[in-house]
Amino acid sequence: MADPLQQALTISGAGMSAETQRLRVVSENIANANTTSLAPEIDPYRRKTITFASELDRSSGISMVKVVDVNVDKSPFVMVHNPSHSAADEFGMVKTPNVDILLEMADMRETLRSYEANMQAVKQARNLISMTIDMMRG
Amino acid sequence: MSEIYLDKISADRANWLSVRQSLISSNIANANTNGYKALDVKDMSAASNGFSTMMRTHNGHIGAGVGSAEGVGIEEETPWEVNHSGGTVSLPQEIIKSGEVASAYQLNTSVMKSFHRMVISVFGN
Repeated sequence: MADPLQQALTISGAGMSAETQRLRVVSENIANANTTSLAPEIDPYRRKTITFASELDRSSGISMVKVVDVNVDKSPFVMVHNPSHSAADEFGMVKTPNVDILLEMADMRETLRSYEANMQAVKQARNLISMTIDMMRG
Repeated sequence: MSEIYLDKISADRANWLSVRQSLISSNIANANTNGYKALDVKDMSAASNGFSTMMRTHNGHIGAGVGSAEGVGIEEETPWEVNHSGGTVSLPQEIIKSGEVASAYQLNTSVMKSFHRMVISVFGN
């Protein structure tokens, strides 16, 4: 059986990696917040969402976290009146992405918080390991 | 030479604490997982009162989760909060538990050190 403290480091690592993928999705959404299509019949960028799941790592018997799914947000596009745009329909409306910057910012904050918590857990496990090693100093 | 009993208690304690830390890491890593139920270890007294888990004959076998092979019981912890997706991880709760583990571990290693000094003193250094 592997050392639980080593496992703690592995789990936190998996947690941090999942959070970085979440941040990647957030930045993708923000970067594409104003991406429109070139023609009225083509949809613009759709907001992406990310789903985590707990997964048992069979070699060590611990439950890690992993990204199971990067999906799209099915909410309707925001319609903006801009008749001169190449993607404008017969009423002069242009479909713009269903990205809400405020929502993305909140998600980014949440990611940061979770990442920090994982980092704290890593520091803690490392401290416990060094305390154990320090016992040899008598 | 048989095991010195004091050392056995300290070693068990260290093991229990490290399994607890590992579960805390697991909870924090899964803080944003839908429907994840936070886990914690059972009291050490429960483990020493003949608490037993299913025997595993190979490390690769699926057990009840982290540390189950070492006779440390694991249960769902009493959540501070349940979020909208059914997960029961509360980051403040985990951080506080993590602090408890740190101080208990510090105490445990100090006790172990002093046992060790006792043994060393027998041999006249």
